[in-house]
Amino acid sequence: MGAGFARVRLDSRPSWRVKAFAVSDTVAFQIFSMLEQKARVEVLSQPKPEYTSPNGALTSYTTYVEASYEALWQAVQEVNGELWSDGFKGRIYSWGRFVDVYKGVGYPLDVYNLYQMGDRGLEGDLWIAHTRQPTNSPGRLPVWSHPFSSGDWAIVHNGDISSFGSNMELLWSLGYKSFVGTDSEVIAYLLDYLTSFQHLNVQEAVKILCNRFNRELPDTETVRLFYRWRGAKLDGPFSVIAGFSDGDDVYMVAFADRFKFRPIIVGEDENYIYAASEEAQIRTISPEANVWTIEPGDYFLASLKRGVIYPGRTLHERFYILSTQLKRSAATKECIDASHMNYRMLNQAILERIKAGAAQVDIINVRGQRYIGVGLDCPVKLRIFGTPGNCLANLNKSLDIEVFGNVQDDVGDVMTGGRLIVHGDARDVLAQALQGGAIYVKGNAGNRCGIQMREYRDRRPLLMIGGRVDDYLGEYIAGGVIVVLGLNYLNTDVEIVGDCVASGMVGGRIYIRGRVSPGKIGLNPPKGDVMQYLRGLLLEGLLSTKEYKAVGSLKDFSLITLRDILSPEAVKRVSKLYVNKYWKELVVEYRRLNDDDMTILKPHFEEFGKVFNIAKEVDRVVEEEYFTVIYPKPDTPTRVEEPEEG
Amino acid sequence: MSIWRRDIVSNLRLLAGVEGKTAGEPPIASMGATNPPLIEEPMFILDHIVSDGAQVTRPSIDPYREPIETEVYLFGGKLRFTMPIIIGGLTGVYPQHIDAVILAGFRLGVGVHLEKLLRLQLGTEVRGHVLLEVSEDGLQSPQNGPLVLRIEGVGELARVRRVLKSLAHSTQLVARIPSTANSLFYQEIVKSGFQTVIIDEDLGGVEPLEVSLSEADHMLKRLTINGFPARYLMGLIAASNRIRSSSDIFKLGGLGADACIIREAWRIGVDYKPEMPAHLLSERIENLLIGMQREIKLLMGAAGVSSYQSSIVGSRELFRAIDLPYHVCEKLGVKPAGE
Repeated sequence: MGAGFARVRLDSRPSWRVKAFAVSDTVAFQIFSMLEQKARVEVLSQPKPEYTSPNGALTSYTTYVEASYEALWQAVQEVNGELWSDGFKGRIYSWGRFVDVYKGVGYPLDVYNLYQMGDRGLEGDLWIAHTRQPTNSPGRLPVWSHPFSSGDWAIVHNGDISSFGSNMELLWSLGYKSFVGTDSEVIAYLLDYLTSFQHLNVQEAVKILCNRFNRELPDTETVRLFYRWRGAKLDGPFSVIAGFSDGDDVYMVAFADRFKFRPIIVGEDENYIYAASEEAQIRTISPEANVWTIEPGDYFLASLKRGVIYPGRTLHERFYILSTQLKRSAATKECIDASHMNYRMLNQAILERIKAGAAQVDIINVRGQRYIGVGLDCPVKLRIFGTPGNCLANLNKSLDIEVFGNVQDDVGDVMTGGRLIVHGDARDVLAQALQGGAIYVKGNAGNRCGIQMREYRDRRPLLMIGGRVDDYLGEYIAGGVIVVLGLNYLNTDVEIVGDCVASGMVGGRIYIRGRVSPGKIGLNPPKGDVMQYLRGLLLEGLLSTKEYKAVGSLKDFSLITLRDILSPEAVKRVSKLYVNKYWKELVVEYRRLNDDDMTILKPHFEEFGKVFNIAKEVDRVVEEEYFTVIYPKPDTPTRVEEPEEG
Repeated sequence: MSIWRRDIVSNLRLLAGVEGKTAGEPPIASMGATNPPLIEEPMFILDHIVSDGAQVTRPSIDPYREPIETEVYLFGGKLRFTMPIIIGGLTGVYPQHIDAVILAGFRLGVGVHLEKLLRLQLGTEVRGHVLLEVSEDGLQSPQNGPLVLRIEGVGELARVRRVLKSLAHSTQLVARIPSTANSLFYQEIVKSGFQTVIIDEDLGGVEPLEVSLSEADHMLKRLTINGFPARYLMGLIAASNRIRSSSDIFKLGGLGADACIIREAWRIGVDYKPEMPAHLLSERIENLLIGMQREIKLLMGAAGVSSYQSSIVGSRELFRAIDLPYHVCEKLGVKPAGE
């Protein structure tokens, strides 16, 4: 286990605070005298141990030095380089004017106590806290704990960066000499290098690391900047929260990878701005904060003086949950108060109520408890007030669960029956492999909703979302029905689904209110590749200039669109880029809902309208609006291969 | 033993559509290891290198359902190739087929390397994708597209530099050199203003391609242009007759190649014959390239990587070596398996 904290404080003293781990006072003195000798670094104070080392483990020492940043950076590289090749005797782990890092081995509270953080009355403009269970790097020494810091940056990271090798190559070439060997530290170095030495602003630097898909880059200038800094792009799963100060302002940054393989959520209230892995963490500090998630591959930026600078999601795409406080008054008096319960205690308490014959169990003050309702197979109503943790209603068979608040990640996973009603938002991987029952979400949902849904005989699962969703809706779906209504976005130009809708779909149906851009359905080759191919056909005379221009003028297209424009011969040729062995043709219709649709959907629309008290609105949308309906093209009987002649 | 083992040839021909009925589709061989160095006899250093696959915390990516970027940029991000493959070895190809090869490459956004200025009647647009080999005199005439200068000895470089100085800077210049880890070569190349280097094993050289490529990648990272590591402003391409498959390309990528020039591989893959109709050749090249791109995507997905140029190129951490002497591992920058 490792844990740590970082504090960014604008009015700190202007000299550099250098912190090092060392096995003894002697090594600590050695480190700082090396620092002095290596460069024009003036050590202003003697190294001071921050705590008494338990069991001879590394102790943290602090000192203050005066130097240019370049000289200090160079000296740190050399000192750490020498120390690292000399075993684990010590390491400088933080050097900043405004950033201060406290990290160690143990639970967060252990580290907090080790550094006597409470007694010292530490104050900061920005705080970061982190805890980890190491998977890829050792955890026995505090050098591997987060936050990682470089200059006036401190970062914490969740994930496993697959571009790590490339990032290290760039850092080596830029003069970095010593690494503790975990993927996370490169993030701090890259951000520091880009801002301190290349003088990119925070936004520019973070955008490079975020590494959006090439096809999403706005112009050739960006393409060239990203090419030059390709060694700084991050790949693989990550979510990162970072703090930074340039001396004028304090910045909070949060960002996530392009596939959104790790959770990240941000929020604000009247006094503070928050970023966390889970909503429950924000709710612990601020029960009433407005929270929203960052778009896949995007970032969030806020500062002390300017507030939220870039929200990571357009304002009208956000959906704020109604006051949970208000709703709590609806709970019955016999409710369970989950304030001080872990998930085991909570599920036990629920079980006891059920055994005592309760037909409905209300739970208040739920905050982050996982696995609620898992393993309880009885047709009981469960009303949850607050923010339940991940894995709510997983494998649910018969519970009827209603949540007054937002839910987190991986909700309704492999649910086979029963019902789940969410009065707020849902996050990523909602209804994964849903096999039965119904899930209604009033607000938005995140990435990868309804993936791998399937049906069997009379078991036909349904997922209905009142707001919008991010990428990969219904990926690999094999059965069941998904409906996305986008009720909050009627008469706006907000696309209510992200990219790669129904990618790998083999069964079931997806209904999305409004017209979905054709390029968002399934996985399409980059537009540039298709245009390139068409240019080739143009040169061969298989395509007219008019046809080529007609395709080029489209903002977005799919193979279906191309069929409407190009000759069958040209379509046959270009379809090579789209079609493969695993590709299944989808039918995409844009129309009003018909009687066939309604035989399945009607009862669910009625329930949806009733439970969220928006029956009129739902009725109007169902009757008047157009839907994009997606389902796999029914198989035609296989053509019998004729025996070859000869 | 021929480097063109039966299964390697068959794999290429299945992709190209010469054999089987699933042109452009990566053939599925079996589960588990079927390859060198443990099952088949290793022939090259490449055969000792394996990809360190994705695992729980870094999931694999399915290229059939989610986007994986195989594109590579060259010339400062100005030229985009859709995959890290360049078609070369056109010297033995009959004149009537040259256009078909170039057009097939052009359609798929793949570069073509012409070792000799052969009859090239195609429009200027196509020439942007053709790496055209010229003599030093040829440099003076305006050309559209990248120009390749063949430089076989360090001694030639000073002279070449003088010629280059008189040129407009906008020309996209490529140096094609033998397989060498001689640092003088790379110092001169950087000084001379070449934007791309082709390390061509078929021009000779004392080092195996794997070693010279990896060392060149590292040397160019230490050399600077206006204080910036030269490698990140330059392209590095590996060329050899013995690049056999997309997995060779993928591994050479890991050792630093932005792209690889394939020669024998595509000719064997499409079963090249002088009498074959141009449209059939064109179709087979297309199938082969699409298939190899899919194989590269599968390899990337299995490594949990979604962007070739930024995450694979030079990313030695994603690879491990089996049964390779330690000093070779060190030269390559690849750790032995288990580390």
